[in-house]
Amino acid sequence: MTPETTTPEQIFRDFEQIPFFYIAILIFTALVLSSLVKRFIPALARLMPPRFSYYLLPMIPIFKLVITGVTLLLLVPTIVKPTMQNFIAFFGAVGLALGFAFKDYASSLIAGIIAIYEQPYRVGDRVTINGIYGEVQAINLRSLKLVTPDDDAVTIPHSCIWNGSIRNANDGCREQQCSALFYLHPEHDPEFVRQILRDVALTSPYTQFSRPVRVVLREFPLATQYRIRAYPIDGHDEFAFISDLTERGKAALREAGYKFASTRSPAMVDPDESAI
Amino acid sequence: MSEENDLKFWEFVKPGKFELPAEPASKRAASFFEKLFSGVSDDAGEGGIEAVQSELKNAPRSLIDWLAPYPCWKEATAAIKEALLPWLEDETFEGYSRVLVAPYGSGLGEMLQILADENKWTVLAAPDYSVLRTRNFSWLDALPAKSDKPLIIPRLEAFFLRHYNGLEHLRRLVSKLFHSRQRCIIGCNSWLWHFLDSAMHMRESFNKCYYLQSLSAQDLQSLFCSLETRKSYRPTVFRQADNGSFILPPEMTGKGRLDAAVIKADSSADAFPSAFLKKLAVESRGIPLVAWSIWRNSLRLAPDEDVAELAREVADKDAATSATAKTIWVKAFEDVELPTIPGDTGQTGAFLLLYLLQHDGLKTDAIFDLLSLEKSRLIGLLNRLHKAGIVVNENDVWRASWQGYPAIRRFLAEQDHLQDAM
Repeated sequence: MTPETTTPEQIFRDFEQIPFFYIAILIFTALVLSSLVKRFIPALARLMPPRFSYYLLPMIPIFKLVITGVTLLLLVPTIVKPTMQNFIAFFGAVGLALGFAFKDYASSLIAGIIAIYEQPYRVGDRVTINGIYGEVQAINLRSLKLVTPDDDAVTIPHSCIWNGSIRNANDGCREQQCSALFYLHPEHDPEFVRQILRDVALTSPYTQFSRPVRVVLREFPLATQYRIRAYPIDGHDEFAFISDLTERGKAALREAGYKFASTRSPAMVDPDESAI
Repeated sequence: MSEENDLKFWEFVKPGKFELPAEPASKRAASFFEKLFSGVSDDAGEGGIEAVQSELKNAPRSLIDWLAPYPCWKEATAAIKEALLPWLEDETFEGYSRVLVAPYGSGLGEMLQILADENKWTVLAAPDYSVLRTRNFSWLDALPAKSDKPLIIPRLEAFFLRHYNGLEHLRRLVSKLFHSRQRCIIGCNSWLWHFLDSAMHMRESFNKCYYLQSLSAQDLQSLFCSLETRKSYRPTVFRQADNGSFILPPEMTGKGRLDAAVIKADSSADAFPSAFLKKLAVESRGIPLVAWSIWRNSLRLAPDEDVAELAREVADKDAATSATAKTIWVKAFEDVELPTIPGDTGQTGAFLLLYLLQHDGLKTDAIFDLLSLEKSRLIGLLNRLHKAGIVVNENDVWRASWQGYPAIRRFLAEQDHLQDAM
């Protein structure tokens, strides 16, 4: 049996049969809808109480994916003759071309689709990817956009999920744990220090009380490290919260007569930082 | 209605028995249909009421002070005694302290102060702000010596600072009271109580606490009638401006001299408490001063009313004897303008309002000190909130306005901030 060969004439419609105006309208509508989703959902999130933004914003890439998928489904039959054989041949050819020519691009696109469903990051999450920390501002089909605390926008392809690890600080929640570190001279009573630092966290206006407030300590040769672990009401206040804890914690310890460590050992590496 | 019945609305209950005023579903449905058919009801527009409504003028402050004077908390002290009587009389009592919790704007501090004065019980004076701000705990050594009579702390807020040293002062005070085995009655605002319970598990430090029960529409009716009859001698009827229905039962505000013809069909017992009071109870969460403040704001006068004459007759017992009944118009609840939170209040505003509620008011310097935020930002915020009627300044102390309280509570809930205990 000789294999059947398929010619382009058999797959594609005749040039004069292709409804270019309809295709243009379709693409234009998809672009307008995508743009509306991109503007309307964040505007809606701003109008609603802050906690709703963590449910609304992650919907953007899902809507965009649905719009793209539906557009493609409507578009392909206008160009390709609608038989099963033709569809297989068309998508096979497109897949092959993408596989060779745009391997990384295709990899990112597929990773993007997986990322939408697995949700290792959502819009509004604060994540660390490849050592870069920032808030996810947008999730596009190929990449995501992070904005770092220094206000730098960083574009990272979704393919990062294949091999790299992703640290998500809030994982879709409004709160995220924050830490403030203090190094004291080792000669002191830790019980009182822990109580003072706990009170510092409990009296901060930013503190979320539905989450625990903890003060943990580690002993180093030249200092005792104290770490306040607490959650701000809104994760966006992360740096303001840490600054508030640090400022008032130092003042409280100084008032209570505790001495700060004057020398730091090189071994005093913040375990959270080293884990990145 | 007898005076005894009038005073029954104050009640302190165990936390599990606390209930917020709520309109039953059947009543809600009824009010929906009432609204739907209000346009064809016989009452609507009767006697040119619609015309009157648009021309009503604000009642002057002096007249409002006669018609709705500041509540007298003396009656409420009986409710405190009733709740605590078994404990006060029992020699082998369980636990040394009792905590009374009431929402912001309940007058709890004043109630406990009156109770202490009446019974000559010692009131614990709060230390200065400057003392609570530091780690100087010497004031605790000067606590009154143990006595058989209870020690009264009318407002625990006065002993509290949301500051790292402030918490330690409170912790030591509680510990000292516990170890001294001194019987103690503590009054605490529900916002502070919830904070202390969340931050320090304060509830576990005390055996029992009681909540001031919220005032239902029926209770508000009794309260407003008792306030009206306290200072005003003239027969008065309170009617809703948009449909003329009675807000308070005329037989209660008529001083027994009201012409029976004036009491129309809509003043039957079934019509009371009025829809206005039901809505007011829900909106104010049954908090006395919040409801009282909104009530005062809703009182209006007819355009041709001679205010000076009316005020004189209301206040003058002799002149009022021969005077005929006067109508005070009450805005429909939907038309009462309550303060709203300005749009740009944001997170800083939420912090500020929460601190004001938890401390039951703060001085300007204390606000700057406790909220380590930019002063210029705080000043701007205070000005905006003051202009919006959300906060008021009395003797350099900023506090949340009673009328603004419902909006503040909703705003803080939206912002996911710690709420009050009730």
